[in-house]
This record gives sequence, structure tokens and C-alpha cells, in this order.
Amino acid sequence: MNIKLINLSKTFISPRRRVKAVDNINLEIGKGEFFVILGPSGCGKSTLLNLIAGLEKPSSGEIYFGEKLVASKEKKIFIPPKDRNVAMVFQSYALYPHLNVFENIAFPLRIQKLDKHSIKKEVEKIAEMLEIKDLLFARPSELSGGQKQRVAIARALVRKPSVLLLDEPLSNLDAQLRINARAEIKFLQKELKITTIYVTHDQTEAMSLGDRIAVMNKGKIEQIGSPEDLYKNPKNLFVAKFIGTIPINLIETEILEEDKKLYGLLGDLKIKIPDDKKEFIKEGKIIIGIRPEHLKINPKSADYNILARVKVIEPLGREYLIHIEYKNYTFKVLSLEKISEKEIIVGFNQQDLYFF
Amino acid sequence: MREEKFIKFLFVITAVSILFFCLMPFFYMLVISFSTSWDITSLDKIRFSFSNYIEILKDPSLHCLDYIKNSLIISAVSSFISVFIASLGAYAISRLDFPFKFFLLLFILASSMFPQITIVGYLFKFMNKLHLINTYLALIFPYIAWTLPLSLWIMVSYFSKVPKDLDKAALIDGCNWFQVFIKIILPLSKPGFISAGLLSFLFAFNEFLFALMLTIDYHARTVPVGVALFQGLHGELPWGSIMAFSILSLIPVILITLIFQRYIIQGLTRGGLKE
Repeated sequence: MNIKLINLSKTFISPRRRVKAVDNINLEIGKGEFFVILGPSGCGKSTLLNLIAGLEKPSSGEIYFGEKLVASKEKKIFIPPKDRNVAMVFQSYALYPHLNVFENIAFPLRIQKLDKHSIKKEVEKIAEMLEIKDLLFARPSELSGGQKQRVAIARALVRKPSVLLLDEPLSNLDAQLRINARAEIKFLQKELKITTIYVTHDQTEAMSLGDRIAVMNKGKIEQIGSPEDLYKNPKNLFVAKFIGTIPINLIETEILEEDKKLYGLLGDLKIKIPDDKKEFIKEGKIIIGIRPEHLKINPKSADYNILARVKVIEPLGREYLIHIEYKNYTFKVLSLEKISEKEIIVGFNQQDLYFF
Repeated sequence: MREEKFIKFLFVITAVSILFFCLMPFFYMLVISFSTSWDITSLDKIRFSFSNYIEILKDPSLHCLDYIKNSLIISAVSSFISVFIASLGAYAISRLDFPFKFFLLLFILASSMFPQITIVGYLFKFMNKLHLINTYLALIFPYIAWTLPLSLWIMVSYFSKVPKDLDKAALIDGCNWFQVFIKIILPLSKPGFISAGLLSFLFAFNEFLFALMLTIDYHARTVPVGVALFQGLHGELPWGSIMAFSILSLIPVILITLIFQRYIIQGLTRGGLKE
């Protein structure tokens, strides 16, 4: 089912303050799409998910599931979660502690008043799929984090929802497990072709899972696009900072005008500012961004070269993260080779630069 | 080492003295109830016998069993209803967002601080108008009102310990609000339910003033009043029978407390201390 959000807003009002958690969001999520909402904590991403689930009522705007209007403040329509056929996996897993694994998974079916035989069949089928068949009679408190997470997913999938919502489902797992679980979720989603909305603050998760990603900040969507798109063409500083395993290098530079052309000054190095980026200049300054992987050590040829001092080298296993210093600016450089020199030449190309 | 032993010794002595101090009346009660004489100062007169018990059980005009029955019914009904109403209220308070929630809770608590005596006169008139004097309802209603605040506070502390994610999960899994309450919140708050119920039960079972004012005879009179107004068969104060009656009426309470004490302790300490 495709989902459409129109001018959706949610404001929380308490005696002391009002918080606009979701601010006028327009969004369309395609049928069977794996859609990721990415943002720092407190940006409103969980509220947005709750609005879609029906756990919160919108303050204004509309939500469509397919052709059906499920929530609209203006038209006074609100369909409760139980009639939306959505399923949700929570960060805390939210397994019912007083029920064993079988009953946890069977819970949505029991509420639907399915007959005993079908419940047993469905639960066993999904348990088989998620490889938790031998845990069916354990209590949630006896399970490890990874197992709890599987049970939570099984409970979500057992009644074949038309929309699957995941609220940071991996953040309580340790790093090793997270990578496996990530792949598994992606596989399941592709296999079952359920429209999925996945909320996370972890850009690696977002990049590896999403067909499309919406980057959210302060209740608003900063940019929507495919992972490659967000990585290559970040629309603004916030997105550029947020995407990328190792954060982008950002340098604020003075502007120099010469022969009607504009340059950013990096020490005595003149970096050309393309004409279409002039709008970013503010108070005689511009922010130039370059990703650590685009800085090359001892390059054969590069548009710009700097001689920089090596400050720290962090081995990351396959690569090395080298912190360098050039004229009071520090950069992070990602390199496959280990460096022993104190000073190195670092080069970069015009096409890899971002201007904000 | 010696110091440690000394402290341990002091500890034991203190514990034993406190225990002795607390249990002495019970011991006295027990001895008197099983003896033919009630003069415990002259031990040589005391002879073991069941005569007191046989006397109060055999004589229907004493209505001992009626009092116990009344007490049990009134306590059970009022504590059940009190906990039921309290749990619904506590569910709303722990789950809904509304201003001045904490003040509401304090206000409710304050209402239970009223001395009973201030209200009993009015209550008598009120019950009289409703023609409820000397019925179970005359006691059940005030007992519910009196125990509600405590039950509510206990239930609120339990319900707020149940993670809200469970509510959300259950709502998404297809429950309505009432099903969430019945299927998720209640089973997870069982100790709270039981401890609130027990405390209400014990309050109702021990309550004296209302029972004295609002009942007239064995149709509704409860054990505490029954004991206080005990009339012997032979004119003088029948201490032996009174003690035997007290012991008898203690049995159900002790049984219930023994069965559920695990939960009471959990229930009372949990709100503030344990995560």
C-alpha cells in the first residue's frame, strides 16, 4: 500500500511550552518501498511514525493509506491503529513480559479471534521463517537481545500487515548482531514486499537499508532521496554532515574576488567557487565541504594540493583515518596506506567539493 | 571480632524484645481463650480447655459466626470494588496527559486523611435516609470511599511502571483501550492488584467506628463491634469467650495474609525503591 502525507503537522502542548514535533510534512511512500526516516534524536521522526501508526492524532494535515483517508484533523477523520492494518517493531521490542514467545506472536491473531488451529499454523510458519521455533515456549525475559528482536519482528509480520513500521529496531543490539539483523530485515522486506517505514538516527543503517531516505531535522524534512543521491548531492549543510560514516570535512573560508571570479581562500590556496554556488556566500564567507575519502595522499594529479602536517593516525582495520593540519584547518583523510611521514601532500579535485 | 559479636548480640536482644512486646497481647489472648480462668496472674488456676470455643460456637444467640461472615463479606466486596474502581482510575491517570495530574493525586490522598469521626454523624443521617442502616451496603459504600485513595496510589505506582511501549504495541496489535487494560496492564500489575486489595480488605476488616454507628445487630454487625459489645451468657464480662471469638475471627485474616504476604511486601516497597 502506498502512503501519502499531506501538510502533516503535530504540535505537543503542555502548560509550559508548545513543541512542533512534526512541521508541515509532505511525503509519498510507494507500494513495497523500504523508506527510511533519518534524523538526530528529538527531530520528530518517531512522532511522524506514531502519526502514521495512529498512535498520535495529527494537529493538522492528512494521511492517506492508498486511496483511503485514515487521519485528517480538518475532516475530523481518525482511524485507530487497530483498523489500519499496520504492524510496528519498537526499539524496546515491547514484548509482553507475562506471555511466552508463542503467545506473544499469537497475540494479534487472538485479538482478531482467529481459530486455534490457524493461529498455531501461522505462528509456527513465521517462527520457522525467523528461526525461533525452538524458543516458542520461552519467556521474553529468558531471551537475548537478538532473539527478542526476532520475536518482535515475528509478532509484527504474523498477521500480514499492509504497512510495517520499525522504530529504531536495531539500536539495542550489539554491533556484530546489528549488521546481521540489518541484512535480515532487508531480505525479509524484499521477500514479503511490505511497504516499510524505518526510523533511525544511524546513517549507516539508513544508507544500507533504504530504497529512499528522508533526512529530518527539527520536525521538517531536509531532503529526500536515494542513499547515493544524499551522499553525492546533499542539499544543505545538515544533510552533508549527517550522511557519511566518517563526517565530512567542513571549512569556512574567506572570499576573494579576482577578475570577476570568486575564490574561497584556504590559506594561500585559491579554491574556485562555481557561479551557481554564489548564493551560498554569506557575509563574505562560504563553507566548503570535502569527504575524507576524496582527499588523496601524494596524488599523481589533483586540482589542488596542500602540504599538511600529520597529527594523529587511527587504524580502522582496512583503512587508516589520518587527521592532518594545514594552516589552522584540520582535515580527516581516509587512506588505504599507512603513513610514516610527518608531512604529506594531500590533493583533491574541484568536482568533489561541496559548497554551503 | 568481639565487637561484631556484641553488635549481633544487641541485635538479637532488640529483635526478641520487640517481638515479645508485639506478641504478648496475642499470647495472652491465646492462653485465655484456651483456659477456664481469665486471671493470668495466678497461673495455678489456668487449665487447658476448649470450653470457651465450644460455648461461643454452640450458642446461636451470640452470633459469633454471623459477625465473622458479615465481616468477610463486607471486606471482600468493598475491597474488590475499591480496587476495581481504583485500577480504572489509575489507568487513566498513568496513561492520559492532563494538567495538574500530580495535584489531583495529592488531593485524592488528602481526602483520605479526614478523621472518620468528622463524617460519621452525617453518614448516619445519610444512610438512615436511604434506609440502609444495618445492611451490608451501609458499610460497603463508606469502606470503598475510604480505601479508594490508597488503592489508587498503589495502582498508579504499578501502572506507571508498565512501559508505555507495551500499550502502543497492543494498540497496534489490534486492541482497543479496554483490551489493553485487561490483557496487558492488569496481568503485569498483579502484585499491585493483590496488595491494594489486601490492604483494603484489612482496613474494612478492622474498621470499628463506622461499623459501630451504622449497624444495629447481627444482620450487619462486624467482628470488631461484635467483640466490643460482646454480651456473655452469665452476666459478668466473659473474657474467655471474647478471647476465643477474637482468635476465631483472626484465622481467616491470618490465612489470607500468609497466602499473599509475598505480594504485600512487593507491593509496598516497589513503588519507591525497586526498578
